[in-house]
Amino acid sequence: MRRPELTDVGSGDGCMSVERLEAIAAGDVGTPSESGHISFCSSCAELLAAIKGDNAFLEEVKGAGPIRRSLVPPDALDDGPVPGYKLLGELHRGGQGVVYRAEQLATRRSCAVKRMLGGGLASGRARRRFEREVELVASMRHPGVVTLYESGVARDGEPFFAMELVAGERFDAYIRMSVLSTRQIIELFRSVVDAVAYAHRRGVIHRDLKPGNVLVDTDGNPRVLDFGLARPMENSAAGMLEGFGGAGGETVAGEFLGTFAYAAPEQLRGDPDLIDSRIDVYALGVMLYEALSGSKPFSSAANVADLLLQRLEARPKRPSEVREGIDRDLDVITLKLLDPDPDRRYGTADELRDELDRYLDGKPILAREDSFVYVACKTIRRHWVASSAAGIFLLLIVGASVALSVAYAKTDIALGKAQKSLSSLKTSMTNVDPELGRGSSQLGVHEFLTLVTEQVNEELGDDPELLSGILVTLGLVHLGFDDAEGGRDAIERAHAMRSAAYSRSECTTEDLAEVEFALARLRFNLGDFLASERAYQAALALYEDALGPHALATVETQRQLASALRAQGKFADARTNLKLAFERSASLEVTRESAIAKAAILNGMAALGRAEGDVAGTLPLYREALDALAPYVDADDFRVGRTLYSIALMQESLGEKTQATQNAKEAHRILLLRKGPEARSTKEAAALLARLLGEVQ
Amino acid sequence: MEAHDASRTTSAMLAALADPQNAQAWEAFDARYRPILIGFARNLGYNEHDAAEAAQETVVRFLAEWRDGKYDKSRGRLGAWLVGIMRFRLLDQRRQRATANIGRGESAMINMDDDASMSQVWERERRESVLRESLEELRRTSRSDPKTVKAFEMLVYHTLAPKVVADELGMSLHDVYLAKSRVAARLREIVARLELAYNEEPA
Repeated sequence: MRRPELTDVGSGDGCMSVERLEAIAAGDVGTPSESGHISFCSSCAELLAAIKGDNAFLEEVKGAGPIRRSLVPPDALDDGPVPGYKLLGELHRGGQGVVYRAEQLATRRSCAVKRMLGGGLASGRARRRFEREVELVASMRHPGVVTLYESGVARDGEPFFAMELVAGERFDAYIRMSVLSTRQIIELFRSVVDAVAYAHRRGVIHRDLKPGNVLVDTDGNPRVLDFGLARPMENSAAGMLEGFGGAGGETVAGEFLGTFAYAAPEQLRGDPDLIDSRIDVYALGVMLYEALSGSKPFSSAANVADLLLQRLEARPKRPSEVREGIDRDLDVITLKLLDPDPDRRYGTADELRDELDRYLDGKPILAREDSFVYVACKTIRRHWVASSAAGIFLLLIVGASVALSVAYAKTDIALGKAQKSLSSLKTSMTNVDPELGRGSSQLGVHEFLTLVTEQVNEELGDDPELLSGILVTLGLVHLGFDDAEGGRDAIERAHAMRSAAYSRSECTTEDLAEVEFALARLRFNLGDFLASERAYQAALALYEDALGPHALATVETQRQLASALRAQGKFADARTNLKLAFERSASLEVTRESAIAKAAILNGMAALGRAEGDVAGTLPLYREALDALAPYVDADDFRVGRTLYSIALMQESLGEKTQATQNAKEAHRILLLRKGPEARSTKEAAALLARLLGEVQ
Repeated sequence: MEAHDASRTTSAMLAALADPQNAQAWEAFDARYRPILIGFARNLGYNEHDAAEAAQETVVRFLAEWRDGKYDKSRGRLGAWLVGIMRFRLLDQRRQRATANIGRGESAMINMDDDASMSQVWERERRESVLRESLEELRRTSRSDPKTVKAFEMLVYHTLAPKVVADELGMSLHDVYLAKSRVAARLREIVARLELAYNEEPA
């Protein structure tokens, strides 16, 4: 017989509710009418018997022993956004993420949960930065650094991490509210410095130290939080390149991260090359200055450029001039921390802590050796500064990309030469400083590149080998900005120089191949496809000779050759070359560069199909190219933009207007960001978008 | 296969034990029977330590006897065989203690010569092991309907008033009772399946 279920509760007159039946089964004496009903109502009687049977069975189960842990995993009942945690309210919303007060359901302990801002819209770089914070904090164990409990993925697919919740006051509020002697302030500050020193020893720079990121807990111990902007120190040559925005760096040149009031001048300039542990030392200086004097060392400024000038040139008042009773030694220590020249600061937080220990022990401090006369008389090195923030960023982005390209393109050149070329570039760029040289705040990217090219010619005129290398790179940067005319002179000069050098056996086959390749790209961009084809043929033969058929440069050149052939309508030849490039690419070592090259070949095949009129067949190829690119480049990489543009174009022809519009919008956004409004590719995307929006509406 | 595999039949486990290389079979057997043996000895009044020691020795001894072909299924249930070894181990422990003159206050121990009560104790332990294992299975599968299982746990194990459970979980009173009834049915089904798996009748 089927066991009755509670849902089978009787519906007849006087039938009893499950609650009543349960109560009776549990020992409640029913009323006479209830007893009477049960005696003649089979459904109620069966249900009562079933409940009693269940109760007896469950008693037996319980008799097997207590359950040691809940039958339900702690997070199973939770349908909140972060599995395993109950979010109890926002604690802080910053540039990098939102921090919530939360309860860890498994342990019932209070904690803080940090989630990335932006959800699915967050950029790849923001995500990597977030993940890096998790790694960095997880790697640190220090009483002055918050402990990471757990990291994971929230229900929306975005990463989160849970950390210790520090109940306490902000560092500055704590000092304001507590009546502390100068000595107590220094002792408290020393603990902060000790935690930062620990991070520095682990190779981590915080990059956003400020009173809001230091909480003093209820025991009076300061805790450093928010390593959201932290990054590992880079000491190697590779690290230096990474600082320029190369592989693995989460900051691009010119991008400012941090809090202005606590940022060192080199951080304000956004020059990743100059960023090391001394920016934390500077921030500690601002914090110490405020803690001692009650006010900030610098007044606020209207914009970054003013702020930068102020940091470089203004000398803050001594803390003892702002507030009485501050020891002269502390003046010296604080001003040393705030020195605009990183070389004049304490090198690491360790050095600062040792200095504070000397102060607390009543010993002479080392900074006293830095005499006032020296400080007053020293020449403050003038740095090139444009009069607008945009100018600074522009100069840096271009400058860094040139330096990076040079270093990458010439990986085999001796370090000395690399240094020489970098220092020449620096000089060249100094000469376009609006104050010192010929630049102006209105300087556009093309004018800037032209000026740098001229300066490079002057600086390196005596070293044709280096000059030709930099000219090639500068020429390619011009092409990158779709300015073929601007790059023409540099590339043609470099080509002439290299060809002459090659005939004298003064440069390698690979060097000549490089310049032939650049020339081919130039010709292509100028619309002279036949000349482009010939130059690519020459570059291909040279690369095959120098590096063999299966080198990345060879494969890349062959792909470009196919583009030049396609542009002339030589589809069969283009296909043959693409096929060969594709086959050759199969044996390339799997690297970011080779993956990008393979995606480019797929793009090339799609473009060829398109040129031949096979619209439907090309769409999957573009999609494949996009998939191949995705793991290796940022979501807003220009190649993604170009591919999305092509996809949108195909979708337009196929009548898929909505998807086409969506992709065209994204393509336009990326290309505008990467190439600027004047670039041909950006204009093409804008035109497509305008066309689609016109049709969609 | 996981070592702790509750649904594997005892016969299958024994068959797998014949292969000396099959460490998983041994672990699965140990996971199933060692807790029963410990519970058995604890029921006889032995302390946790002694019970665990005798249980371990028993499992090891059984394995050796099984591989030597000494266990003859036709001569009785597996449980009876294990109880036989366990009794011997416990008596041996006592003898050693007596020799060493170590008083352990074992006056509460039941008479181990009484086969019927031995069998009862074993049976009770085996059944409780099945029930505990059933709860484990319920726990492993509770994600599919966590609220129902939570309501059951709060009502039956935490003995909270149905109204409190209903309020805490945002359920109606009727749904709380329904949860109890459904989990009881699910447990019955698991218990029935495991009883089949634990069946020690000679094949």
